[in-house]
Amino acid sequence: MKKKRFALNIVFHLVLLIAVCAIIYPFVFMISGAFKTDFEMNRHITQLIPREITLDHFHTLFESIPFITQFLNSFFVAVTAAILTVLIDGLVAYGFTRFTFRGRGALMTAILATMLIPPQVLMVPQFQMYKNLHLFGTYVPLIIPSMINAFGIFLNCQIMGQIPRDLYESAMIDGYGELQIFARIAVPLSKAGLGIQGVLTFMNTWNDFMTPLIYLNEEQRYTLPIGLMRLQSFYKISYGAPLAGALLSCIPVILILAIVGQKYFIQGLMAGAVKG
Amino acid sequence: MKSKTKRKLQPYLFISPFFILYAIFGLYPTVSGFALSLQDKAGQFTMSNYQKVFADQRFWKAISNAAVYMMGSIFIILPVALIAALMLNSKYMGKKSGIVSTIFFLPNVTSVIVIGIVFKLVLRVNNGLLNTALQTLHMIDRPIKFLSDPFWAMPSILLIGTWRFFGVNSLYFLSGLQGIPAELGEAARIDGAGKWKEFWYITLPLLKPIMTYIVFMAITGSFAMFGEVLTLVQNGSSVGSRDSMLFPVIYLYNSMFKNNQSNRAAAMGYVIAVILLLITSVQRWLFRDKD
Repeated sequence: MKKKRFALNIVFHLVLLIAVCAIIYPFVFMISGAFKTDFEMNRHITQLIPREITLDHFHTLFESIPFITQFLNSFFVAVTAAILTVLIDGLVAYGFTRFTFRGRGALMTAILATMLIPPQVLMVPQFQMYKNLHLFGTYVPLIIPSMINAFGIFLNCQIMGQIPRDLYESAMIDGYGELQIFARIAVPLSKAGLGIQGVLTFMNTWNDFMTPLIYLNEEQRYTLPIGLMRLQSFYKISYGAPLAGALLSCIPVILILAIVGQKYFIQGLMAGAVKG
Repeated sequence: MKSKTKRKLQPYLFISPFFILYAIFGLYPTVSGFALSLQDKAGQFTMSNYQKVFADQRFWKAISNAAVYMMGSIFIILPVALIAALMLNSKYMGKKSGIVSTIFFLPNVTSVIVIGIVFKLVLRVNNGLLNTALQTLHMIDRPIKFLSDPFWAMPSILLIGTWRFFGVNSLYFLSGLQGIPAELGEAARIDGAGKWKEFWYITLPLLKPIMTYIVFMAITGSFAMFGEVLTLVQNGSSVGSRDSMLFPVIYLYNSMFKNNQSNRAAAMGYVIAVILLLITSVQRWLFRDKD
């Protein structure tokens, strides 16, 4: 029995190790490729540690596309989307959890029902609408979708609903208005949910590919994924520069995962999903 | 009196931003899109957009590709994820560090363009990573055309899908498994149930809520496939050879922006949505509570 247990222990850890390696491998491959010469990439693609380390691909990257501008564009769009989304989710969740009012249940159901409408339906008419509103080529269409995302509201209602009502009562006795109660009590006490929603929105907007592909038409205004796609199509044979760009574009997301605290973030995310 | 009405209005003021924004940017296009799908280019009423979509073989090819990918993700990616979660949750594993979850989560928050750039090199024919590795191991004689052979197109995309989604799905399964009280398993063992029976009659039914969510995401994700494929196969007229990588949203996008058929594309959007609603209804029926 003990022997079997030991064997299973080894096997399970081995399988887990293989899984982790399989997930990490493409990232390691990307890093190695960004510093490898094209010659070596073609001759020894499986070699992860380059014989000769080169920074040429980064030079090519900065010369071929306005990388810094596009990086900052992406950053601006993602941060704006995150802030506005957190603001809206917070206000709406506060409205739903703080008050009892006529139509509350029906309105909540209406919000959840919006999740059932497949986004494919909206692609054509939304494009026409943004074009008619002269918002084509701006960042507005990239930011709006996350602001009307029902999941974030649902998640934050779950978390804000756990705030003890006594806190609200005593704040009212102290003469706080609703906006003050919202800002000084509800928001600080549901930092976890709002934070997760902000981080998720940042990541989704940062990585978004389809919306900027549809709505942006000037190289100087592109977000990074579109800039990299263009770069990829210039370089049919050399992959060094796109790999270098891909590597740099991953940094913010990896930094966030490292800083926000892996465990805290992922557990919070899971909590939202399980209840959903 | 005035302050009482104000008090009554307050909750609506707090929740109004969502409803105002959704009415403008969600509801209005949903309706106007339907109107658009029933018009010809001159704005006259017509049903021909829908007729054309239904008669369009490429459209059905795209739907069937999405359906195949969906089956693949439900019956390949999800079981793999479940097995990984069961292993992570087993008593043999002991405490896992947060770093494992972060790694499992990472591919899910990686941009599709990054995935496209990397996997193009992994899957390319000449000096591709996978081909070189397989040839070095003498498992194949000549390189496989992972991206341009219609037979290999779907397995290649599924390979990428597995890499991208198995980690996050096993985290979902794991959180479901951790919610199952250990006593239930012990009780079953006292009653003489084997491991397999315990899994089948206790673990699996208790995982149903999380599984419903995961399968729903797999279905909608399959029909929303876009960036992965677009970054892998720069499209000429067909997407992948013989449309082997044509997915519904890509086809819709091409009709709209390459062929300038916005009315037909609007109709296509509605047909895709109805198909998707049918599939998810069937799923909900299959996953219903049976008592």
